[in-house]
Amino acid sequence: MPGIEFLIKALTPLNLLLAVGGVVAGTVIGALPGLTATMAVAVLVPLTFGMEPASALIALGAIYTGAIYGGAYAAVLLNTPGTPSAIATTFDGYPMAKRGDGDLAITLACIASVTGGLVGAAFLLLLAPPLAKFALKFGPVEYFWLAVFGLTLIAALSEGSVLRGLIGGCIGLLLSAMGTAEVGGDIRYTGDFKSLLGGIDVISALIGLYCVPVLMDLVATPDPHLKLTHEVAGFRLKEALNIAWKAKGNLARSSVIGTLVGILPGAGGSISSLVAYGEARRVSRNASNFGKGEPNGILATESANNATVGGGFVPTLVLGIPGTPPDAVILGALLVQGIRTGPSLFSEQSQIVYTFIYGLFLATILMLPVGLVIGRYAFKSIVSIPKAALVPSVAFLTIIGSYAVHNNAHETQQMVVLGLMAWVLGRFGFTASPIVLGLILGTIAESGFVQGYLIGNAKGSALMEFLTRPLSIAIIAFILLTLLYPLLKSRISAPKPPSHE
Amino acid sequence: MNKSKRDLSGIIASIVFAVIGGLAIYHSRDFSPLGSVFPRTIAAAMIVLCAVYVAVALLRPIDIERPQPGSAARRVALAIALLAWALLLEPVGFLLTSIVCFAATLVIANYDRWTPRLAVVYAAVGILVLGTLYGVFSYVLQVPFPKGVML
Amino acid sequence: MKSLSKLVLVTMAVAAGVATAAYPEKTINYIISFGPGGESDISARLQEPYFKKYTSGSVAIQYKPGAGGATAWSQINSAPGDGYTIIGTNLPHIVLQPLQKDVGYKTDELANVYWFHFTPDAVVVPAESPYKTLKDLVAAAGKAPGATTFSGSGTNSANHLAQQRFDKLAGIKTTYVPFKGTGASNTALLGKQVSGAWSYTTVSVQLGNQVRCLGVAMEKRHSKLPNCPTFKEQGYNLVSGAYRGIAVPKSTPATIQKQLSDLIGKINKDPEFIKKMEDKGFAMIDVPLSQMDAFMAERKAEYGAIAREMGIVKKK
Repeated sequence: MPGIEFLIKALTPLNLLLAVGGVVAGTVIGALPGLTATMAVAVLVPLTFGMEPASALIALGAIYTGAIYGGAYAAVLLNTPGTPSAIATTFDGYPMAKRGDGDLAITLACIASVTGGLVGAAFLLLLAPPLAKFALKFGPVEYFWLAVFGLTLIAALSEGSVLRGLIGGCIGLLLSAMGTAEVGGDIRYTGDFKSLLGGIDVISALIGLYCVPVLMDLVATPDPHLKLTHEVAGFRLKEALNIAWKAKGNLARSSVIGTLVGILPGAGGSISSLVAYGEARRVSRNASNFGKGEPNGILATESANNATVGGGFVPTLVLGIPGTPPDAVILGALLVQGIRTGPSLFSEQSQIVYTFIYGLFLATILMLPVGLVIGRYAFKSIVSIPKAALVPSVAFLTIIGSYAVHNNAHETQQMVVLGLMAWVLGRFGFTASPIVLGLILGTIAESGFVQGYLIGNAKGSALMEFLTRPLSIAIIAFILLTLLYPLLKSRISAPKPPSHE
Repeated sequence: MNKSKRDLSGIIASIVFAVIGGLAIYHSRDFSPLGSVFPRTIAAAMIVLCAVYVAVALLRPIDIERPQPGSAARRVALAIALLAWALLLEPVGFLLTSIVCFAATLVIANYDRWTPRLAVVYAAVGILVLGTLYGVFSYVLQVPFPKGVML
Repeated sequence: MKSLSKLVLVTMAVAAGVATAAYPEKTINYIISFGPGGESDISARLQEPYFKKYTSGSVAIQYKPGAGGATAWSQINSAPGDGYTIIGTNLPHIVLQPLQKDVGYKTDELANVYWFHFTPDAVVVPAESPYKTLKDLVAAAGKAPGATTFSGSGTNSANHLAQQRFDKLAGIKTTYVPFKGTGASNTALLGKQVSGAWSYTTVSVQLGNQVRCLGVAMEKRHSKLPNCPTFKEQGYNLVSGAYRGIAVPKSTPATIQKQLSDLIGKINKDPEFIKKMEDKGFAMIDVPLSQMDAFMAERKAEYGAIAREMGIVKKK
């Protein structure tokens, strides 16, 4: 292990305290819908200016890790991703909670997050420079195909009708085009609303699309929000560890996917967890259980999104290019601290780098006890609060959270309107997830396409640019595999009855 | 689960989406070539998908899972409360709007018989939740909330 | 109710007038119209400690991102004009945006009190690029019009403007590929997806020896980039960049505007502060309130002319 001597240095009482405090603060902030990991880090950056650079970095890394994990709580218990990284966690987490396994789902999320976090940090420690080189091979064209790959998940996510899912995806893609285009500068579909010039904000859209329909159904009947089928006693840790051990292949694969997508600047936790989810589903023998409360779904998404933390620091530290939005804030904090990132950081300021990486390990391990305790508390409070108190509290959270996204009421209005729209569409059989996928992947797909087209044209042929680059071919192969695999699989073996439940 | 012979709601929705797609293409006429290629492609794809959907729905009756029934009045009331919350927080002020709308959603969501004791308990819960979250966001996270006409 | 709020406003104005002697004596809300981590944020963070050093007040930095800054700028004039709400402003953004479309504010409606620094435009190429000098690059671009590609942050942005102006000055045709933000543009640059990037001195300093800087749009070379010649040295009259400053709500009394302008000026002259800024690649300028009108008139004429040439001015 390189720089192990710095581990000893990282273990000062102050740094330990900062790591614990950071994980707790991050988990709580991440659990509140609307407060993202980016915001958690940004808010706490000023507090770190008075600290030693290494301590500051440990605190920021811990907050970041905690926030990504905390996003799972709201995803599981309220069907609302606390951070965009937790979108895919709602797919199976909420169905699990609905059938009374919310506590198990949260413990699984905790185990997966710790695993993913450790794998990501290990990659950062051992392979950062070569991985950064790999990340640079991804050009606009590859980002375009990656987004298309993410969109193929729509086919998997559409309960009932693939056609409805695809139409929903188109709605999301069109929504993503609203506002001022990053590329081209056009103002599109804003009507006369100045509030739409900035486009639809993804986070407020997430809150609305997922949470408002839940609230609408909550008030309609007197039934309790989540059924409680057993006594809430332990963490169900043993049961969860058993499941996780059986799924070690899934955990390893998802963690590696998370790390690799994390090192691609601009892709981030939401895409990595979606890709990991898609792969877990494709490989699984119980593919039809996914979306209905399959533990493997949570394991895949939560390990992948925490692996992006370590992965995202690769380009941040090696190249000086933020891998994810929270990394951009941390990079800014580093600059203010007077630390110059770049290839020389690992050799010239290795002490700070290694202290930071070991600090990240430390924070990730601390997440296990901290996460289990906070998770159990969150679960208990959500199931025991009477509906009449739960609904206004969650409603207030969605309002305050969407306001805090940009400190602006525009986002709150968007949130409510999109949420009501999602509820109406739900009545017509169109689910929210394809719309969200379109909304998130739309901007990446569009800018990748337009940039690739411009670059390809300058080189001579745009078509060649899109179809002949080696990495593009690899991603296209994966897209075809994902789309055709279910057909192939059903040809090879007759469908087995689902073994779960 | 009711069986419907024709997926009428899906057909209506598809027609609405196809019209939206048409409008999206119509409004893209002023965009630059780079800015229009993406929305036009998507809108065209959406129109085609909607057409296929309508065709399939007419030819092949399918089972549609009916959403669970429930009180429509409470749903509408909640929708109005949320809209009011979002629209009034800037002109009226964040805290005042939130107190009123919190109380409104609480009443909408409550199925128990109101007793003085229940009212006191819920009032206390409301003050606790509003106070804690508002305090955390406003002072710890330094979110500048609109003060509005009061406070 | 209306007369009540008017009364409050008047009282506040009076109170502000009385309190001018000690301005600022409490926390100033410093609004950044972009998200955290960007150059505007970093500059504000670096200024923050000096507010404490020179006054008995302090600043709290708040982010209101959206529509390339327009969201925050279009709302600033409805904030109380007591000197305790200030906002970061950027050029060419605040001139170009209202020219292109109705963004909810007009350039003249923003009460700028100081421009404190700018990030000069710079053209950079990857360290392994065959283009050793600007001359190589211009020669290659001249041979194959349109084949040289430059990444940059955003469409109709400072980077885009610089690329257009340079193309005209050098008589070449290159392809500008807009990216979402400086980070994405840098990724494309380092990954050699493009021939080079139109960027800022700050980026060149930050990326260090991974890139080569072929020209900076400054009067003199930047102290942190001594090997990077200016465009002027190489025969192109290009001195430009993205300026950052501070504005207040229009209703802010003139005395407070003046005091704030003086305060920013004082911070901007602090040698320690100047060193920190220049180390990161910023270039200092000083445009206080007294020179504001002339400076803005000049910028507006300059950007307006280019914008018309690029065809981005909205049709009336």
